Amino acid sequence: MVTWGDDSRGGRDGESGTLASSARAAVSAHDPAGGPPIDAVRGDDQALVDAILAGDRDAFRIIVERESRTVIGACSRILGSMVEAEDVAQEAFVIAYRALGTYRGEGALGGWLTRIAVRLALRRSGQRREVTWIDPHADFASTAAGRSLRGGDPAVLHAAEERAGAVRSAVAGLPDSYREIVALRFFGDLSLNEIAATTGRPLGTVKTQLHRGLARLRDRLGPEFAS
Amino acid sequence: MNRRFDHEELGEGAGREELLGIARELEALGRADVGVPIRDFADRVMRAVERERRPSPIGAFGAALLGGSPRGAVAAVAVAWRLATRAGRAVPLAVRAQALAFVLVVAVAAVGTGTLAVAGAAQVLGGSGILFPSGPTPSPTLTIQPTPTLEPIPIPTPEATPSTSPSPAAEPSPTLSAEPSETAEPGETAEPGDTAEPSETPSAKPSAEPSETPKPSPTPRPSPTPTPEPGESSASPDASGSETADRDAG
Repeated sequence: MVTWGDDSRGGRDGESGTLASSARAAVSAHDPAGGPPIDAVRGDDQALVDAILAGDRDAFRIIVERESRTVIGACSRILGSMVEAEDVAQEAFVIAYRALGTYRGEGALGGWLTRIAVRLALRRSGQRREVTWIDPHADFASTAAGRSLRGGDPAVLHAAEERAGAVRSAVAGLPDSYREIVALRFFGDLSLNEIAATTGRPLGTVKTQLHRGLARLRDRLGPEFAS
Repeated sequence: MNRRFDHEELGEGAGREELLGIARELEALGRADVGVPIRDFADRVMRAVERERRPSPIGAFGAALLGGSPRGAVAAVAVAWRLATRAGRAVPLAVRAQALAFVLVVAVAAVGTGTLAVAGAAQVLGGSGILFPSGPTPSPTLTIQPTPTLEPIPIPTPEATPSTSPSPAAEPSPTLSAEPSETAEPGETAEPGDTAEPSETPSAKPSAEPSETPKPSPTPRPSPTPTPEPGESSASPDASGSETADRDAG
């Protein structure tokens, strides 16, 4: 649940306080598990963004608290490291804050943020590939396998982590357009409709690029992964 | 947590089962426990954001232009318009006025740039006769040229019939050369001039070569001897001339 904190911060500048408080009320009524209508979410998003553009910087905290788990999760799945994922997610939020003046509200704000974060994470992943061989297990404790190491067979978990690393490397090696779609679908957990709205591409194009991206992955990973 | 991948998302195509296997692999990776974000993550982000300038469509527009992103620039204008025209008192008056002024400036700049671009393109294309083939540029040339060109044409045509006779061929040239001085048509004057020059050049080349060959003319001095002169004496200068010509050519 979103926590806002001190009300005096949001309502300090009269009119923008009205907007921020309405956005705040809308967000506090927003239940992620319940799945509100997408138009309502868009309205909330636009109200929040307009409040920030009108000078209410603290309204951005609502967005951060609401979307941080999704954004960090997407980065973590791409990078395989929680520490790195948080760094990338923080960078993504700062970039999004700078670019709020271009958010038109065509897709959900969460999808827009996830797209920025996924692109940053993929770029980081692509840069990191050459360095990985120096110390591949340096951040193993923060990975999914590392966290569950206490209760499982280390060899099995290590094999699973290697398999996951192979898949991540294969995704990072895809051409840009396929890579983004695959990452948004499977790591960013967006539906194809959301991806189409976020990227501004037609749904048919998104489907085609997903199909081709998976075909490239099959060729890279081999039949062992495709079975 | 992670929505399940549906095989219909793949659409039609060969090897769907294999692709579904790859999709399940990715799905498993996406379902992996990603842990909980650190508790002060939002504080970290807000601390980083405090160092940033307040976001605005104007700043985003400039950044988009510098970054070469026309979509971003258009989006910034759209957001500014949304802020300027938002109903109610939600947006402060200063922000609303700033957004409206920005939209107006962009609109005026776009219209001005478009007008200049159209004018420039019209000038470039019109000057080369692509855009306006029946435009104003051909008309002055047509109005000026017809009067001079019509005058010379009747004059050569009556004189052209006598020019078919061998001797008066020189006569049309002065008449034509006098007329071009009035009109700006050197094309016709050049032709007779050219015809005159070749008539000189064939005579000049042989005359120049024999002018050098007279040096061998002393050779005929011994020719006063009773032997038949013309065949040998004429042959030797020709041979010397041909040799000199070959050397010159070489």
